[in-house]
Amino acid sequence: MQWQTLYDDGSIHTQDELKSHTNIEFKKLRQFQLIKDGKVVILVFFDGKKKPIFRVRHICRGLNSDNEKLIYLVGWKPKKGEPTIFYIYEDGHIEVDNARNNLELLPYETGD
Amino acid sequence: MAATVKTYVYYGASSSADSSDHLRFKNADDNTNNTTNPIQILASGVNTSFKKTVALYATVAPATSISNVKLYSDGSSGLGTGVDIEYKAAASYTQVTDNTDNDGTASVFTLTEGSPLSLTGSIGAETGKGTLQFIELQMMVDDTATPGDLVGIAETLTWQFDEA
Repeated sequence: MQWQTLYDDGSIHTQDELKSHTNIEFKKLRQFQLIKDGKVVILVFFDGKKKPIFRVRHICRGLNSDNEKLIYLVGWKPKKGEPTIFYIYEDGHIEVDNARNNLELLPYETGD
Repeated sequence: MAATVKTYVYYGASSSADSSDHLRFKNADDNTNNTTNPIQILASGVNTSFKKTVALYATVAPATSISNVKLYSDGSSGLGTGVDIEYKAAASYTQVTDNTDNDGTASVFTLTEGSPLSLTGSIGAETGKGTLQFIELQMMVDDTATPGDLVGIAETLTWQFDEA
């Protein structure tokens, strides 16, 4: 899965272009989309105030085996209060919660 | 590009490392998975293996970081009576020279998905292990253990980490 953003001027910026979600200009951000096989899996609206959060949580069983599960975390952190996170599993189901399992927010995600 | 993160097993004076798909506890400081240098069962008491040192290592750098690293087992040992594996987190690598008891924190089988070991440190937008802690593992063999080879009775540990 890859993410892309829609800014307030209508421009689209991809993960390949921005590399890290910490390079997103959150004041211009209007949509954060997670895309799989050309289809939008989840679309989160932003208002220029909320800070986007993105992670790929890896769960790897064994030493360097191919037995790896991925959970995609998409959410936001308001200036005050707890973050809201969508946990998107590979089977397609989505859970919504706060910061589970000691998720460590980056300075970009928490700063004003 | 997404990060590629391996488990590196460290050994030797120069902390050589490679990403074997399994490790064998033995009485030697190498990462060769063979049947030489087995751990003897003592007539009385506990014998120990040389410790094994492992760490997560990014061979392709993440865009921002690897953090929130956790390690756990399935919570159940299948190694048989008298055999256990203890763990300890360490800030730096130290070469093992003998099978001295490493004074591990506890059995790895006390670590579960609901109660994992949380490592300190992180990997930045770089290759390598960053500031992440190493994990030292040591097999403990009690005199109640049954002689024989544990190959084929492997246990699996699970890493969990967040890539940003």
